[in-house]
Amino acid sequence: MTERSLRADRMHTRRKVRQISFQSGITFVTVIFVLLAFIPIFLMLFLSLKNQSQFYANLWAIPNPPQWKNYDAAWNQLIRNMLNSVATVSVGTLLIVSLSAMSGYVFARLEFPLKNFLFMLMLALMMVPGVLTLTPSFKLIQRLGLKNTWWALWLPWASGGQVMGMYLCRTFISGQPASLFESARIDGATEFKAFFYIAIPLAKPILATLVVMNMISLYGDFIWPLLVIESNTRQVISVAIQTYSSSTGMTDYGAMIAGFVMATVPLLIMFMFSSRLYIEGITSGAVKA
Amino acid sequence: MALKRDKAAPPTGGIRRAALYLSIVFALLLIASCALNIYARGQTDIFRMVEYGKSLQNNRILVSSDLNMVFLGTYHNTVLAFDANEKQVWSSDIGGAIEAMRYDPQRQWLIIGSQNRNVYIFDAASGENIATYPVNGKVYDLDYHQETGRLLVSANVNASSHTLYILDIETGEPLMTAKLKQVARNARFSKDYNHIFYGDARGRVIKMDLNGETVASAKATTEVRAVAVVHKTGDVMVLDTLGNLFRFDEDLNQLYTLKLVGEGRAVGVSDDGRWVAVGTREGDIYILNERGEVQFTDRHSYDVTQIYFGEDVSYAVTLSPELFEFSTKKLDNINTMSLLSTVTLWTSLGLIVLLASSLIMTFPRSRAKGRRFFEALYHHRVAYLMLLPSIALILIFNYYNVFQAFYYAFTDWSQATRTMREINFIGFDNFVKIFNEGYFLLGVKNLLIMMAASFLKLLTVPLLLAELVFAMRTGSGESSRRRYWFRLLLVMPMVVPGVVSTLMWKNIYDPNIGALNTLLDTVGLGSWKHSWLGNPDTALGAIICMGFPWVNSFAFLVYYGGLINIPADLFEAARVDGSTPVWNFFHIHLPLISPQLKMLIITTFIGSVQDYGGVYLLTQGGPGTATYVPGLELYYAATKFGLYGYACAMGLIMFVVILIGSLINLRMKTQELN
Repeated sequence: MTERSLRADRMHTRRKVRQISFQSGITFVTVIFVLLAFIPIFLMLFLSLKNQSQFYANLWAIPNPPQWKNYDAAWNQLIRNMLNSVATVSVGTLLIVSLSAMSGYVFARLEFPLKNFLFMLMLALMMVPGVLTLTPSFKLIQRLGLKNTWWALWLPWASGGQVMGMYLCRTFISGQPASLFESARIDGATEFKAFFYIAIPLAKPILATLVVMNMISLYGDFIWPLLVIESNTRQVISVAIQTYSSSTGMTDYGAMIAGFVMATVPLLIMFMFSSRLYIEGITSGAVKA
Repeated sequence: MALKRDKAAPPTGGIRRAALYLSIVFALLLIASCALNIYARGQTDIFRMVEYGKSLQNNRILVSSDLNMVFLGTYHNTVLAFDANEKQVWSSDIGGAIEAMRYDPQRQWLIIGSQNRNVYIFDAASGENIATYPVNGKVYDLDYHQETGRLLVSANVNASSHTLYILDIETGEPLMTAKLKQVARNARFSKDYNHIFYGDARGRVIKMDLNGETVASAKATTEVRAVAVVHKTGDVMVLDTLGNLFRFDEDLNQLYTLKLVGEGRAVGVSDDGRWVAVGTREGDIYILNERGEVQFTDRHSYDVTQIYFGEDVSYAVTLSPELFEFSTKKLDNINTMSLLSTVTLWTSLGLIVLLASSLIMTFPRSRAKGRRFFEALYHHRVAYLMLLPSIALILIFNYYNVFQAFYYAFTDWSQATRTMREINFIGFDNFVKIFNEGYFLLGVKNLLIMMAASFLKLLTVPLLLAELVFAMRTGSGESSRRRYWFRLLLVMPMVVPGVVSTLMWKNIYDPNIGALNTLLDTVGLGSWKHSWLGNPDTALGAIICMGFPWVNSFAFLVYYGGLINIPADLFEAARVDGSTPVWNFFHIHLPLISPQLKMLIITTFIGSVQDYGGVYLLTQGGPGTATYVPGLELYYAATKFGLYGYACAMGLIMFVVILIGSLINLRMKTQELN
């Protein structure tokens, strides 16, 4: 072995070592962040199995025996509201996503008079803070006689949520190759067909992103349902969990936190099915100004 | 294009003539339809404001058909009598607001119940005071049975003491006294005058015999405001303050109930039992048929205090100088007429469109233009159709509200405003108030601190994590799997709903069983313990630190997406030039993810200007005002304090701030493009 090749080999090894230590370094830092981010979740699962005396005795002690009845209490109190949330949020999200896809497609692919005006009309709403219209929206719902119905959630949710969705869909669909649509048109496909059979399947990642984003934000919305839904039998979980937490908060921490865990489960299930597409959609580069 | 113009070539005379004839036909139909509409509207416009009785606040009305006179009882302690020519015959000042009036046609006596704890008897024709019977309590209601001369008086002492009397009209001697523990605003004789119906403040409806024994009872939803007996059937109508109307039969079995919008004030029943009218505090009048179906509604400016069904003329009294008369005859075909008015309105609109298009067809030049317009509309129909639902929704649920908010910001609209017509334009008073008093400005300082913190949180941890995951070496299968798992794990905490994670943090900060204080105890730093959210010095910091280590999943993914979309040849070229990772970061990464950065900054800005959810859940703005933010003040103004105009003004200020921020952002973008 010549000296030269030996030196090259050594350099190669050194670079490799440096590379490996760099890689393990960044992995280590990331792991730390992941662990820290999961602390509240672990804490939630852990504390949900304790009863009141186990809380006060030693917070960090393993709950022995685990108090599974906490979940019984939470289930009985919250199941109704959880189902309400699932129903309202799924319909709301469906509305938002279908409206966003349609208008996004139109603004991305079609040319027509007043296009820019209508586009700006929708986009300008991004600058309107939700709190500005809080009072008039409430009065409007009251006047339309929709108060204490789920329509009072669905319609304003759909109306407000579609703006961002339209923008994201438009950016994403603009990035789809125009030639696809042209050849479809040459083959005699109508606009609706092009929309359903070409644009929608290709836009799946961004639609999944919209589904997840909107599900999370609608599921977490508690100000609007608090205002427009009066009866507890129709109330959604995000509001119910507050009442539940203040009613159990003084007497039964474990049951309260078991309720928190339960309220998380629907989103977790949804996430399990859509996480791959969601991540693909956001990282596709369509999400930008 | 050329082909099209050929098609639109000079029209033949035949088409033009046909179009002209059609225009004439449409024009005639339009005139007929408009005329019909005006007629139908006239028939549905049943309330007519009368000219007399312009006292400040009318409260009660009574008509004597034998004397042909109308009596008005006002809230300002006067009784006014008018003859058939609407001329005032007499008036009398009695020392209290008039709450009830009855008439004895045989003796021609006017019986008046007043809040000054007296029942007065006047000679109806002359206005001479014949007798005054003092009762123990403000008179809220009277009912009178002429044959036996028995007067039922509902007299209120205070909120927990109320008396029902039956007085002999000649002597004023009480024949019966029933003491109640609840306010019974209205009490009426039953159809056969052997029982009394009353409703109390606890929402109970009671049937009582003439000895004061309860015979039957029923429940309304809340405080009963008005009771009326249907003299044809003996049924009882009950109205509560939530606007629920009930119909009970003589034994108080519920026949139907329905909810009307507004706070119930008055209920009236026509003598033939065919019409029931309900008046609300908001000024709405609902007219229902026997089956309880709303036939007609009309909105007035002030609260409705009484609806009086007379033999010929009926009246609606509002707590104002505005007194309305109406005729039950017009009510008979009100349904048909209101249908007709709607139908003719739409027909007229349709005919206007048809007329316009046929006129356009008549003249060659406009015809070509109109054709091009419709062709364009038709040609792009798919686009417009697909946009229709979105645009319709934002117009109704966003733009309408935005303009309303702009308007109300300059008014004194508040909870105290009873009807929309009472809202006054007050210029910039709301804005002056925002800057002079209130917590809005107090919150601005906290908001700026929180906003700075959220920018810091946005620009550090998620970007760092995106760089870290991006730096995990690609190429071999091992590292891309590593990237995948870290990406997934960093996104996963997102599934915890915002409300839940906020409440969880509230629990972590709990001074007694919170994880934070327990942890400090465990590691021997017990002296650092705090009531984190209860202490004004730490509350704001605690809210900012919530969510540590601030792995914003969305921002992380957006940054990461920006990084992986940077073309690889850029790095290649930089490496050839001997670049360092730091140089790469500032000269390649940052510029190329600037669109993502800008989007995140603007959404964070918009979000944090109006955000108050976290503060609301954690501290409600407290302790004191340590964590107050403008959004919270707005929310309280709109919900707790009912100052709607003031709330809109605050929203408007936030809108302007957001607008300026967005415009600066937009400007930065355009500069970059140049």
